Amino acid sequence: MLKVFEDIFSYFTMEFGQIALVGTLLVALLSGLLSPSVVLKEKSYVGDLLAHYVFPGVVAGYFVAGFFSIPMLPALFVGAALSGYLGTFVVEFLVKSLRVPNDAASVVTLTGFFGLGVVAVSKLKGTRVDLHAFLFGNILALTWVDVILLGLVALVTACLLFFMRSDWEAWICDPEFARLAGFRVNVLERFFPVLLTLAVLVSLFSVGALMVSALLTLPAVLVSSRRVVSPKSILLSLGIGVLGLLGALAFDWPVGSAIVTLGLFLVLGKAVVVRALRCF
Amino acid sequence: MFLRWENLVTGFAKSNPLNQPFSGEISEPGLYAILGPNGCGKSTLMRTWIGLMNPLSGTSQIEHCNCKHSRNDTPCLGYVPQFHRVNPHFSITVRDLVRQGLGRTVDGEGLARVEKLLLEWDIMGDAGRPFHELSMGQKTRALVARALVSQPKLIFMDEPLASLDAHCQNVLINALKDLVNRTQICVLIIDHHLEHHSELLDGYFIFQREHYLDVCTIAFSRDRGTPIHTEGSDLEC
Repeated sequence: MLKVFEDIFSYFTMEFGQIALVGTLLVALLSGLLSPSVVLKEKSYVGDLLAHYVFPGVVAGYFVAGFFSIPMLPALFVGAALSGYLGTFVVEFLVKSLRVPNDAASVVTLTGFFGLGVVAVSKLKGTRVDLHAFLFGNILALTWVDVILLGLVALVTACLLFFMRSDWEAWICDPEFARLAGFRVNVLERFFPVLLTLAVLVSLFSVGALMVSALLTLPAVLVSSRRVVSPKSILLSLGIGVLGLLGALAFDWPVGSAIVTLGLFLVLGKAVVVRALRCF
Repeated sequence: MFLRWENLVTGFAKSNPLNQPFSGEISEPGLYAILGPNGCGKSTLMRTWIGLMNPLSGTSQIEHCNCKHSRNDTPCLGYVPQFHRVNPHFSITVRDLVRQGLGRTVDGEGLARVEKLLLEWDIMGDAGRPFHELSMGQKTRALVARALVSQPKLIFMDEPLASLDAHCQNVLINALKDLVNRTQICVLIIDHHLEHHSELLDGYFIFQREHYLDVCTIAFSRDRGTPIHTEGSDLEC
Protein backbone atom coordinates (compact mmCIF):
# COMPACT_ATOMS: atom_id res chain seq x y z
CA MET A 1 0.00 0.00 0.00
CA LEU A 2 2.76 2.38 1.03
CA LYS A 3 4.50 1.50 -2.21
CA VAL A 4 1.47 2.74 -4.21
CA PHE A 5 1.58 6.09 -2.39
CA GLU A 6 5.29 6.38 -3.04
CA ASP A 7 4.73 5.67 -6.74
CA ILE A 8 1.99 8.31 -6.98
CA PHE A 9 4.12 10.84 -5.13
CA SER A 10 7.01 10.19 -7.48
CA TYR A 11 4.74 11.07 -10.43
CA PHE A 12 4.32 14.59 -9.08
CA THR A 13 8.06 15.13 -8.85
CA MET A 14 8.20 14.79 -12.63
CA GLU A 15 7.05 17.53 -15.01
CA PHE A 16 4.35 15.49 -16.79
CA GLY A 17 2.87 14.60 -13.40
CA GLN A 18 2.79 18.27 -12.37
CA ILE A 19 1.16 19.24 -15.68
CA ALA A 20 -1.38 16.44 -15.20
CA LEU A 21 -2.22 17.68 -11.70
CA VAL A 22 -2.59 21.35 -12.73
CA GLY A 23 -4.52 20.29 -15.84
CA THR A 24 -6.93 18.15 -13.80
CA LEU A 25 -7.46 20.95 -11.28
CA LEU A 26 -8.21 23.44 -14.07
CA VAL A 27 -10.61 21.07 -15.87
CA ALA A 28 -12.33 20.47 -12.53
CA LEU A 29 -12.48 24.21 -11.80
CA LEU A 30 -13.94 24.93 -15.24
CA SER A 31 -16.54 22.18 -14.82
CA GLY A 32 -17.43 23.37 -11.34
CA LEU A 33 -17.92 26.92 -12.61
CA LEU A 34 -19.97 26.03 -15.69
CA SER A 35 -21.92 23.00 -14.54
CA PRO A 36 -24.68 24.80 -12.58
CA SER A 37 -25.52 26.87 -15.68
CA VAL A 38 -25.28 23.83 -17.94
CA VAL A 39 -27.64 21.84 -15.72
CA LEU A 40 -30.07 24.67 -14.93
CA LYS A 41 -30.25 25.68 -18.59
CA GLU A 42 -30.89 22.01 -19.49
CA LYS A 43 -27.86 21.88 -21.77
CA SER A 44 -26.27 18.76 -20.26
CA TYR A 45 -26.40 16.83 -23.51
CA VAL A 46 -24.89 19.72 -25.49
CA GLY A 47 -21.40 18.99 -24.18
CA ASP A 48 -21.69 15.43 -25.45
CA LEU A 49 -22.97 16.56 -28.84
CA LEU A 50 -20.21 19.16 -29.22
CA ALA A 51 -17.52 16.68 -28.22
CA HIS A 52 -18.61 14.43 -31.10
CA TYR A 53 -19.22 17.20 -33.64
CA VAL A 54 -15.64 18.42 -33.28
CA PHE A 55 -14.05 15.05 -34.16
CA PRO A 56 -13.92 15.45 -37.98
CA GLY A 57 -12.61 18.98 -37.40
CA VAL A 58 -9.82 17.64 -35.20
CA VAL A 59 -8.85 15.11 -37.88
CA ALA A 60 -9.00 17.81 -40.56
CA GLY A 61 -6.88 20.06 -38.32
CA TYR A 62 -4.19 17.35 -38.00
CA PHE A 63 -4.24 16.83 -41.75
CA VAL A 64 -4.09 20.53 -42.65
CA ALA A 65 -1.38 21.25 -40.08
CA GLY A 66 0.73 18.39 -41.44
CA PHE A 67 0.11 19.25 -45.08
CA PHE A 68 0.81 22.98 -44.90
CA SER A 69 3.29 22.69 -41.99
CA ILE A 70 1.46 25.17 -39.76
CA PRO A 71 1.43 24.88 -35.95
CA MET A 72 -0.66 21.93 -34.79
CA LEU A 73 -2.61 23.48 -31.88
CA PRO A 74 -4.23 26.44 -33.71
CA ALA A 75 -5.10 24.17 -36.64
CA LEU A 76 -6.76 21.68 -34.29
CA PHE A 77 -8.67 24.43 -32.51
CA VAL A 78 -9.91 26.12 -35.65
CA GLY A 79 -10.88 22.78 -37.20
CA ALA A 80 -12.69 21.66 -34.06
CA ALA A 81 -14.51 24.98 -33.59
CA LEU A 82 -15.63 25.09 -37.24
CA SER A 83 -16.75 21.49 -37.11
CA GLY A 84 -18.61 22.13 -33.83
CA TYR A 85 -20.48 25.08 -35.30
CA LEU A 86 -21.21 23.18 -38.50
CA GLY A 87 -22.73 20.36 -36.43
CA THR A 88 -24.95 22.78 -34.48
CA PHE A 89 -25.96 24.43 -37.76
CA VAL A 90 -26.80 21.09 -39.43
CA VAL A 91 -29.06 20.13 -36.49
CA GLU A 92 -30.90 23.44 -36.70
CA PHE A 93 -31.23 23.06 -40.47
CA LEU A 94 -32.68 19.53 -40.12
CA VAL A 95 -35.10 20.57 -37.38
CA LYS A 96 -36.38 23.53 -39.38
CA SER A 97 -36.61 21.91 -42.81
CA LEU A 98 -37.81 18.41 -41.89
CA ARG A 99 -39.67 19.40 -38.70
CA VAL A 100 -38.19 16.44 -36.81
CA PRO A 101 -37.59 16.61 -33.04
CA ASN A 102 -34.33 18.17 -31.93
CA ASP A 103 -32.97 15.02 -30.25
CA ALA A 104 -33.53 12.93 -33.39
CA ALA A 105 -31.74 15.48 -35.59
CA SER A 106 -28.94 15.69 -33.00
CA VAL A 107 -28.37 11.93 -32.89
CA VAL A 108 -28.29 11.66 -36.69
CA THR A 109 -25.78 14.52 -36.90
CA LEU A 110 -23.70 13.31 -33.94
CA THR A 111 -23.23 9.82 -35.30
CA GLY A 112 -22.75 11.07 -38.85
CA PHE A 113 -20.06 13.56 -37.85
CA PHE A 114 -18.30 11.04 -35.65
CA GLY A 115 -18.51 8.43 -38.40
CA LEU A 116 -16.98 10.89 -40.86
CA GLY A 117 -14.12 11.43 -38.42
CA VAL A 118 -13.53 7.69 -38.00
CA VAL A 119 -13.60 7.11 -41.77
CA ALA A 120 -11.14 9.97 -42.23
CA VAL A 121 -8.80 8.56 -39.57
CA SER A 122 -8.86 5.12 -41.20
CA LYS A 123 -7.94 6.62 -44.59
CA LEU A 124 -5.43 9.26 -43.52
CA LYS A 125 -2.81 6.98 -42.04
CA GLY A 126 -0.18 9.72 -41.95
CA THR A 127 -2.16 11.99 -39.62
CA ARG A 128 -1.49 9.90 -36.50
CA VAL A 129 -4.77 10.84 -34.81
CA ASP A 130 -5.18 8.56 -31.84
CA LEU A 131 -8.87 7.64 -31.67
CA HIS A 132 -8.41 6.14 -28.23
CA ALA A 133 -6.83 9.34 -26.92
CA PHE A 134 -9.66 11.41 -28.46
CA LEU A 135 -12.32 9.28 -26.77
CA PHE A 136 -10.70 8.80 -23.38
CA GLY A 137 -8.16 11.59 -23.20
CA ASN A 138 -4.56 11.38 -22.21
CA ILE A 139 -3.85 13.72 -19.37
CA LEU A 140 -0.25 12.57 -19.08
CA ALA A 141 0.41 13.86 -22.61
CA LEU A 142 -0.71 17.42 -21.83
CA THR A 143 1.73 20.27 -22.38
CA TRP A 144 2.05 23.60 -20.59
CA VAL A 145 0.41 25.27 -23.63
CA ASP A 146 -2.72 23.12 -23.07
CA VAL A 147 -2.68 24.05 -19.41
CA ILE A 148 -2.39 27.77 -20.20
CA LEU A 149 -5.35 27.50 -22.60
CA LEU A 150 -7.36 25.71 -19.91
CA GLY A 151 -6.44 28.43 -17.43
CA LEU A 152 -7.50 31.20 -19.83
CA VAL A 153 -10.90 29.64 -20.51
CA ALA A 154 -11.42 29.08 -16.77
CA LEU A 155 -10.48 32.71 -16.10
CA VAL A 156 -12.86 34.10 -18.75
CA THR A 157 -15.65 31.87 -17.42
CA ALA A 158 -15.03 33.00 -13.84
CA CYS A 159 -14.99 36.67 -14.86
CA LEU A 160 -18.23 36.39 -16.85
CA LEU A 161 -19.90 34.57 -13.97
CA PHE A 162 -18.81 36.94 -11.23
CA PHE A 163 -19.16 40.27 -13.04
CA MET A 164 -22.45 39.44 -14.76
CA ARG A 165 -23.97 37.36 -12.01
CA SER A 166 -27.34 39.15 -11.88
CA ASP A 167 -27.63 38.88 -15.68
CA TRP A 168 -26.90 35.12 -15.54
CA GLU A 169 -29.44 34.62 -12.78
CA ALA A 170 -32.17 36.59 -14.54
CA TRP A 171 -31.40 34.81 -17.83
CA ILE A 172 -31.54 31.35 -16.32
CA CYS A 173 -34.63 32.18 -14.24
CA ASP A 174 -36.80 33.65 -17.02
CA PRO A 175 -34.99 34.67 -20.23
CA GLU A 176 -37.87 36.57 -21.83
CA PHE A 177 -38.57 38.67 -18.79
CA ALA A 178 -34.85 39.24 -18.32
CA ARG A 179 -34.63 40.58 -21.87
CA LEU A 180 -37.54 42.95 -21.32
CA ALA A 181 -36.17 44.06 -17.96
CA GLY A 182 -32.92 45.18 -19.60
CA PHE A 183 -30.56 42.40 -18.47
CA ARG A 184 -27.73 41.61 -20.90
CA VAL A 185 -29.43 38.51 -22.26
CA ASN A 186 -28.10 38.94 -25.79
CA VAL A 187 -24.50 38.86 -24.55
CA LEU A 188 -25.11 35.64 -22.60
CA GLU A 189 -27.04 33.95 -25.40
CA ARG A 190 -24.16 34.69 -27.73
CA PHE A 191 -21.34 33.83 -25.31
CA PHE A 192 -22.70 30.82 -23.47
CA PRO A 193 -22.48 28.47 -26.50
CA VAL A 194 -19.01 29.85 -27.29
CA LEU A 195 -17.92 29.32 -23.70
CA LEU A 196 -19.35 25.81 -23.72
CA THR A 197 -17.56 25.00 -26.98
CA LEU A 198 -14.27 26.37 -25.63
CA ALA A 199 -14.69 24.41 -22.39
CA VAL A 200 -15.31 21.22 -24.36
CA LEU A 201 -12.35 21.88 -26.65
CA VAL A 202 -9.80 22.63 -23.96
CA SER A 203 -10.96 19.71 -21.81
CA LEU A 204 -11.15 17.29 -24.74
CA PHE A 205 -7.49 16.38 -24.93
CA SER A 206 -7.10 15.86 -21.21
CA VAL A 207 -10.21 13.84 -20.33
CA GLY A 208 -11.56 12.76 -23.71
CA ALA A 209 -14.73 13.26 -25.72
CA LEU A 210 -16.80 10.73 -23.82
CA MET A 211 -16.11 12.27 -20.41
CA VAL A 212 -16.38 15.99 -21.16
CA SER A 213 -20.15 16.20 -20.93
CA ALA A 214 -20.19 14.16 -17.71
CA LEU A 215 -17.68 16.51 -16.12
CA LEU A 216 -19.76 19.53 -17.13
CA THR A 217 -22.82 17.98 -15.50
CA LEU A 218 -21.66 15.96 -12.50
CA PRO A 219 -20.75 18.70 -9.98
CA ALA A 220 -24.11 20.49 -10.19
CA VAL A 221 -26.06 17.22 -10.10
CA LEU A 222 -24.11 16.04 -7.10
CA VAL A 223 -24.70 19.13 -4.98
CA SER A 224 -28.21 19.70 -6.47
CA SER A 225 -27.02 23.19 -7.26
CA ARG A 226 -29.83 25.67 -7.80
CA ARG A 227 -27.72 28.83 -8.04
CA VAL A 228 -25.62 30.06 -10.91
CA VAL A 229 -22.41 30.33 -8.89
CA SER A 230 -22.05 27.46 -6.49
CA PRO A 231 -18.90 27.28 -4.34
CA LYS A 232 -19.94 23.79 -3.23
CA SER A 233 -20.06 22.60 -6.82
CA ILE A 234 -16.59 24.08 -7.51
CA LEU A 235 -15.04 22.50 -4.40
CA LEU A 236 -16.67 19.18 -5.07
CA SER A 237 -15.53 19.23 -8.68
CA LEU A 238 -11.95 19.90 -7.56
CA GLY A 239 -12.21 17.07 -5.01
CA ILE A 240 -13.51 14.55 -7.53
CA GLY A 241 -10.89 15.66 -10.04
CA VAL A 242 -8.00 15.09 -7.64
CA LEU A 243 -9.41 11.78 -6.36
CA GLY A 244 -9.97 10.64 -9.95
CA LEU A 245 -6.40 11.53 -10.90
CA LEU A 246 -4.97 9.72 -7.85
CA GLY A 247 -7.15 6.68 -8.58
CA ALA A 248 -6.08 6.70 -12.20
CA LEU A 249 -2.39 6.88 -11.28
CA ALA A 250 -2.74 4.19 -8.61
CA PHE A 251 -4.66 1.71 -10.76
CA ASP A 252 -3.46 2.82 -14.19
CA TRP A 253 -6.96 3.82 -15.41
CA PRO A 254 -7.69 6.58 -17.95
CA VAL A 255 -8.12 9.73 -15.83
CA GLY A 256 -11.40 10.96 -17.34
CA SER A 257 -13.01 7.56 -16.97
CA ALA A 258 -11.82 7.28 -13.37
CA ILE A 259 -13.31 10.69 -12.56
CA VAL A 260 -16.74 10.02 -14.08
CA THR A 261 -16.95 6.53 -12.61
CA LEU A 262 -16.26 7.98 -9.18
CA GLY A 263 -18.85 10.68 -9.97
CA LEU A 264 -21.55 8.16 -10.89
CA PHE A 265 -21.02 6.19 -7.66
CA LEU A 266 -21.19 9.40 -5.63
CA VAL A 267 -24.42 10.49 -7.38
CA LEU A 268 -25.92 7.02 -6.87
CA GLY A 269 -24.86 7.06 -3.21
CA LYS A 270 -26.48 10.44 -2.75
CA ALA A 271 -29.69 9.26 -4.46
CA VAL A 272 -29.88 6.22 -2.17
CA VAL A 273 -29.37 8.37 0.93
CA VAL A 274 -31.99 10.89 -0.23
CA ARG A 275 -34.51 8.08 -0.88
CA ALA A 276 -33.77 6.49 2.47
CA LEU A 277 -34.20 9.78 4.32
CA ARG A 278 -37.53 10.34 2.53
CA CYS A 279 -38.78 6.94 3.71
CA PHE A 280 -38.01 7.50 7.39
CA MET B 1 -51.13 57.25 -26.09
CA PHE B 2 -49.97 54.02 -24.47
CA LEU B 3 -49.64 51.74 -27.47
CA ARG B 4 -50.01 52.31 -31.20
CA TRP B 5 -49.74 49.88 -34.07
CA GLU B 6 -50.10 50.36 -37.81
CA ASN B 7 -50.93 47.74 -40.44
CA LEU B 8 -49.62 45.14 -38.05
CA VAL B 9 -49.46 41.51 -39.20
CA THR B 10 -48.12 38.93 -36.75
CA GLY B 11 -47.05 35.33 -37.16
CA PHE B 12 -44.04 33.06 -37.50
CA ALA B 13 -43.79 32.84 -41.31
CA LYS B 14 -44.75 35.27 -44.07
CA SER B 15 -46.64 32.45 -45.79
CA ASN B 16 -48.83 31.92 -42.73
CA PRO B 17 -49.84 35.23 -41.16
CA LEU B 18 -52.02 34.98 -38.06
CA ASN B 19 -54.10 38.08 -38.70
CA GLN B 20 -55.11 40.58 -41.36
CA PRO B 21 -53.26 43.90 -41.26
CA PHE B 22 -54.83 46.10 -38.63
CA SER B 23 -54.08 49.39 -36.99
CA GLY B 24 -55.07 50.88 -33.71
CA GLU B 25 -54.04 52.57 -30.55
CA ILE B 26 -54.75 52.47 -26.85
CA SER B 27 -54.85 56.00 -25.61
CA GLU B 28 -56.53 55.87 -22.22
CA PRO B 29 -55.64 54.00 -19.04
CA GLY B 30 -57.76 50.94 -18.39
CA LEU B 31 -58.07 47.18 -18.10
CA TYR B 32 -58.17 45.60 -21.55
CA ALA B 33 -58.38 42.00 -22.71
CA ILE B 34 -57.38 40.05 -25.79
CA LEU B 35 -59.76 37.11 -26.01
CA GLY B 36 -60.07 34.12 -28.30
CA PRO B 37 -59.55 30.38 -28.72
CA ASN B 38 -56.20 28.56 -28.59
CA GLY B 39 -53.85 28.97 -31.52
CA CYS B 40 -55.41 32.09 -33.02
CA GLY B 41 -52.46 34.32 -32.28
CA LYS B 42 -53.28 36.14 -29.03
CA SER B 43 -49.88 35.46 -27.46
CA THR B 44 -48.12 36.16 -30.76
CA LEU B 45 -49.80 39.57 -30.95
CA MET B 46 -48.76 40.35 -27.38
CA ARG B 47 -45.19 39.15 -27.96
CA THR B 48 -45.01 41.30 -31.09
CA TRP B 49 -46.27 44.33 -29.20
CA ILE B 50 -43.65 43.97 -26.49
CA GLY B 51 -40.81 43.32 -28.94
CA LEU B 52 -40.07 39.65 -28.20
CA MET B 53 -41.03 38.89 -31.82
CA ASN B 54 -40.72 40.90 -35.00
CA PRO B 55 -43.93 41.73 -36.88
CA LEU B 56 -44.34 40.16 -40.33
CA SER B 57 -45.22 43.65 -41.53
CA GLY B 58 -46.36 46.93 -40.04
CA THR B 59 -45.12 48.64 -36.89
CA SER B 60 -45.97 48.88 -33.23
CA GLN B 61 -44.79 51.48 -30.80
CA ILE B 62 -44.99 51.73 -27.02
CA GLU B 63 -45.06 55.21 -25.54
CA HIS B 64 -41.68 56.52 -24.35
CA CYS B 65 -40.09 53.23 -25.31
CA ASN B 66 -37.76 53.45 -28.24
CA CYS B 67 -35.90 50.36 -27.27
CA LYS B 68 -36.49 47.29 -29.35
CA HIS B 69 -35.50 44.88 -26.63
CA SER B 70 -35.50 47.41 -23.84
CA ARG B 71 -31.78 47.93 -23.74
CA ASN B 72 -32.08 51.01 -21.56
CA ASP B 73 -31.75 50.59 -17.85
CA THR B 74 -35.30 51.06 -16.65
CA PRO B 75 -37.81 48.62 -18.03
CA CYS B 76 -40.51 50.65 -19.79
CA LEU B 77 -43.15 47.96 -19.79
CA GLY B 78 -44.28 45.31 -17.37
CA TYR B 79 -44.66 41.71 -18.45
CA VAL B 80 -46.35 38.93 -16.52
CA PRO B 81 -45.62 35.60 -18.25
CA GLN B 82 -47.32 32.33 -17.36
CA PHE B 83 -45.57 31.08 -14.25
CA HIS B 84 -44.25 27.92 -15.90
CA ARG B 85 -41.93 30.24 -17.81
CA VAL B 86 -39.92 30.63 -14.59
CA ASN B 87 -37.25 27.91 -14.68
CA PRO B 88 -38.44 25.27 -12.16
CA HIS B 89 -34.86 24.05 -11.54
CA PHE B 90 -33.65 27.48 -10.50
CA SER B 91 -34.18 28.24 -6.84
CA ILE B 92 -35.05 31.88 -6.32
CA THR B 93 -36.76 33.50 -3.37
CA VAL B 94 -39.88 35.56 -3.95
CA ARG B 95 -38.05 38.72 -2.87
CA ASP B 96 -35.18 38.12 -5.34
CA LEU B 97 -37.68 37.35 -8.10
CA VAL B 98 -39.51 40.64 -7.52
CA ARG B 99 -36.15 42.47 -7.43
CA GLN B 100 -35.42 41.23 -10.95
CA GLY B 101 -38.13 43.63 -12.08
CA LEU B 102 -35.76 46.49 -11.28
CA GLY B 103 -33.48 45.43 -14.10
CA ARG B 104 -29.79 46.21 -13.72
CA THR B 105 -30.21 49.46 -11.81
CA VAL B 106 -30.82 48.50 -8.21
CA ASP B 107 -31.01 51.50 -5.86
CA GLY B 108 -32.46 52.17 -2.42
CA GLU B 109 -35.64 53.62 -3.84
CA GLY B 110 -36.18 50.57 -6.02
CA LEU B 111 -35.59 48.19 -3.13
CA ALA B 112 -38.10 50.14 -1.02
CA ARG B 113 -40.63 49.72 -3.84
CA VAL B 114 -39.97 45.94 -3.80
CA GLU B 115 -40.86 45.79 -0.08
CA LYS B 116 -43.95 47.94 -0.61
CA LEU B 117 -45.20 45.74 -3.45
CA LEU B 118 -44.55 42.56 -1.43
CA LEU B 119 -46.86 44.01 1.21
CA GLU B 120 -49.44 45.34 -1.23
CA TRP B 121 -49.76 42.04 -3.09
CA ASP B 122 -49.89 40.04 0.14
CA ILE B 123 -46.72 37.98 -0.35
CA MET B 124 -44.55 39.59 2.34
CA GLY B 125 -44.99 36.51 4.55
CA ASP B 126 -43.53 34.33 1.77
CA ALA B 127 -40.81 36.74 0.64
CA GLY B 128 -38.01 34.42 1.82
CA ARG B 129 -39.55 31.23 0.40
CA PRO B 130 -38.54 29.70 -2.93
CA PHE B 131 -40.89 30.86 -5.69
CA HIS B 132 -41.73 27.31 -6.75
CA GLU B 133 -43.10 26.39 -3.32
CA LEU B 134 -45.87 28.99 -3.58
CA SER B 135 -49.49 28.29 -4.50
CA MET B 136 -50.70 29.24 -7.99
CA GLY B 137 -52.37 32.40 -6.71
CA GLN B 138 -49.26 33.49 -4.80
CA LYS B 139 -47.06 32.80 -7.83
CA THR B 140 -49.24 34.98 -10.02
CA ARG B 141 -49.17 37.77 -7.43
CA ALA B 142 -45.38 37.54 -7.19
CA LEU B 143 -45.07 37.85 -10.98
CA VAL B 144 -47.44 40.83 -10.98
CA ALA B 145 -45.33 42.49 -8.26
CA ARG B 146 -42.19 41.82 -10.35
CA ALA B 147 -43.81 43.51 -13.35
CA LEU B 148 -44.96 46.52 -11.30
CA VAL B 149 -41.69 47.24 -9.53
CA SER B 150 -40.25 49.29 -12.40
CA GLN B 151 -43.40 51.48 -12.35
CA PRO B 152 -44.33 50.85 -15.99
CA LYS B 153 -47.27 52.63 -17.59
CA LEU B 154 -48.20 49.59 -19.62
CA ILE B 155 -48.46 46.01 -18.36
CA PHE B 156 -48.96 42.89 -20.46
CA MET B 157 -50.24 39.70 -18.82
CA ASP B 158 -50.19 36.28 -20.52
CA GLU B 159 -53.15 34.21 -19.28
CA PRO B 160 -52.77 35.19 -15.62
CA LEU B 161 -56.08 33.53 -14.76
CA ALA B 162 -55.33 30.17 -16.41
CA SER B 163 -54.49 28.15 -13.31
CA LEU B 164 -56.52 30.05 -10.74
CA ASP B 165 -59.80 28.97 -9.16
CA ALA B 166 -62.86 31.23 -9.40
CA HIS B 167 -62.16 32.91 -6.08
CA CYS B 168 -58.52 33.70 -6.91
CA GLN B 169 -59.56 34.93 -10.37
CA ASN B 170 -61.99 37.38 -8.76
CA VAL B 171 -59.40 38.59 -6.28
CA LEU B 172 -56.81 39.14 -9.03
CA ILE B 173 -59.14 40.89 -11.49
CA ASN B 174 -60.48 43.17 -8.79
CA ALA B 175 -56.96 43.97 -7.60
CA LEU B 176 -55.93 44.81 -11.18
CA LYS B 177 -58.99 47.03 -11.68
CA ASP B 178 -58.18 48.76 -8.42
CA LEU B 179 -54.57 49.23 -9.56
CA VAL B 180 -55.69 50.77 -12.87
CA ASN B 181 -58.04 53.16 -11.08
CA ARG B 182 -55.41 54.20 -8.55
CA THR B 183 -52.39 54.60 -10.79
CA GLN B 184 -53.98 55.35 -14.18
CA ILE B 185 -51.92 52.71 -15.98
CA CYS B 186 -52.92 50.40 -18.78
CA VAL B 187 -53.18 46.62 -18.24
CA LEU B 188 -53.62 44.20 -21.15
CA ILE B 189 -54.68 40.63 -20.34
CA ILE B 190 -54.72 37.60 -22.63
CA ASP B 191 -57.39 35.01 -21.87
CA HIS B 192 -59.74 32.53 -23.50
CA HIS B 193 -62.83 34.02 -21.99
CA LEU B 194 -63.54 36.66 -19.44
CA GLU B 195 -67.36 36.64 -19.49
CA HIS B 196 -67.53 36.64 -15.73
CA HIS B 197 -65.47 39.77 -15.50
CA SER B 198 -66.57 41.67 -18.61
CA GLU B 199 -68.16 44.40 -16.50
CA LEU B 200 -64.70 45.27 -15.14
CA LEU B 201 -63.04 45.55 -18.56
CA ASP B 202 -62.64 48.84 -20.36
CA GLY B 203 -62.43 47.11 -23.74
CA TYR B 204 -61.47 43.89 -25.41
CA PHE B 205 -60.38 42.38 -28.71
CA ILE B 206 -61.85 39.07 -29.76
CA PHE B 207 -59.95 36.84 -32.16
CA GLN B 208 -62.33 34.95 -34.41
CA ARG B 209 -61.63 32.15 -36.77
CA GLU B 210 -64.35 31.17 -39.18
CA HIS B 211 -62.61 28.23 -40.80
CA TYR B 212 -59.83 26.40 -39.11
CA LEU B 213 -57.06 27.48 -41.46
CA ASP B 214 -58.36 30.97 -42.12
CA VAL B 215 -56.48 34.01 -41.05
CA CYS B 216 -58.08 35.39 -37.92
CA THR B 217 -60.24 38.42 -38.01
CA ILE B 218 -60.16 40.57 -34.96
CA ALA B 219 -63.46 41.85 -33.68
CA PHE B 220 -63.36 44.65 -31.26
CA SER B 221 -65.85 45.68 -28.66
CA ARG B 222 -66.47 49.37 -28.23
CA ASP B 223 -69.88 49.06 -26.61
CA ARG B 224 -68.63 50.53 -23.36
CA GLY B 225 -67.37 53.69 -25.01
CA THR B 226 -63.88 52.35 -24.83
CA PRO B 227 -60.96 54.51 -25.88
CA ILE B 228 -59.29 51.83 -28.06
CA HIS B 229 -59.54 52.66 -31.76
CA THR B 230 -58.79 50.14 -34.43
CA GLU B 231 -59.14 50.03 -38.16
CA GLY B 232 -58.42 47.30 -40.67
CA SER B 233 -59.84 45.65 -43.74
CA ASP B 234 -61.50 42.72 -42.01
CA LEU B 235 -62.37 44.19 -38.66
CA GLU B 236 -65.86 43.95 -37.41
CA CYS B 237 -65.87 47.17 -35.48
